[in-house]
Amino acid sequence: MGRIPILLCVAALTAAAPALAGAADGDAILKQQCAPCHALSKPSDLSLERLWKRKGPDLYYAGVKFNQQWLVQWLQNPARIRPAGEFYFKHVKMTPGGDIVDIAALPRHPRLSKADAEAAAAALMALKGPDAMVSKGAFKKQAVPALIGAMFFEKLRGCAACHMDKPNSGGLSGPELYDAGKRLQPDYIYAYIKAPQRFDPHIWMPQLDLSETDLQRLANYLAARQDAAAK
Amino acid sequence: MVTQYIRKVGLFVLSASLLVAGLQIGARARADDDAKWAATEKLYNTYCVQCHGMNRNGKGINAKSMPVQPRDHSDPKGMGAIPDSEIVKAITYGGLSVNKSVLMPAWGKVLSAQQIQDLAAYIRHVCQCGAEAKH
Repeated sequence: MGRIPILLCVAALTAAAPALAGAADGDAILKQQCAPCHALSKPSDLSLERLWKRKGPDLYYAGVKFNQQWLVQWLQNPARIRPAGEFYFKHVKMTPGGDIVDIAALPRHPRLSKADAEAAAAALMALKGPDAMVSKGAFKKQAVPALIGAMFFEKLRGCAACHMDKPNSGGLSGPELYDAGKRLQPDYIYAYIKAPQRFDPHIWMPQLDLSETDLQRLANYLAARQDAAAK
Repeated sequence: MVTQYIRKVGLFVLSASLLVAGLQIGARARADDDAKWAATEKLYNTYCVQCHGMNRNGKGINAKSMPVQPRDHSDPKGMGAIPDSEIVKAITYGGLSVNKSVLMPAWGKVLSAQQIQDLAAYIRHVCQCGAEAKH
């Protein structure tokens, strides 16, 4: 008599198990795996000291920053974004010829399964940050010839001092940007160039006095950088 | 004899005490000096080291890819030739404002005027040249 209900329960649990396993809990993944290094909600302390202590970039506005498809791919196969890591100062090795990046000191990012990456990416896309952090539609798509874009990025506005717009071409203290268009939303690219300190109040990127034409030109050049192997 | 001996010992003790006191004052002055620069050094390490280097010699991790090398802040001769006002202007408005490279960006919207003044003084402290060295 008593065995039937128990068997029924076991059967019911067994039937439910694959469904539960298939639907990875994105929020739980963020809390367990991402939160130790990344802020998932806006920190109350945004001081320079806190910037020095944090282990990874803030993700509380990931939903207005990243392209979901890129997140899904990257979380399964995390590749270098910041040549000197975050924060660059902690991964510098002094040599007689000058400073170099101490590659051995760079931490490795955890790798997620496909199901977990999809769930985590969906949960990250729900993190929009405070209103008006990124103005929707501020980016105006226009055709910027790659040569003109590169000239402004590399020579006229000095972005290449810290960023690479082509593999092995440019500085190392900022994120690589030769696949910026794959990784980042155009409105975010525009908003970040315009005022990096709106996102990170003490970040080591200058806020340049760029005209609207310049901002659109640079944002369009970067939004068009789609290929990691772009020349 | 005895009086002379006592006088000698007294003199020795006195000079030893003065030496110890002097060393203590020196150490405290150095500690005060370190504390004075600590906050500004942190700013330098955050914003300037990426190009000007850990050794402040213009050989930061970004320098290798640059067509124009960042200023060597440890060079007393080169730095001594630059007036304070030009250092402040370069940090605030960028290299172009002082007819130098665009690769030196303007930090005036990231750092306060006081922080920039402090950085200019710190750079003098690093090069041991110019106004800071005369103090």
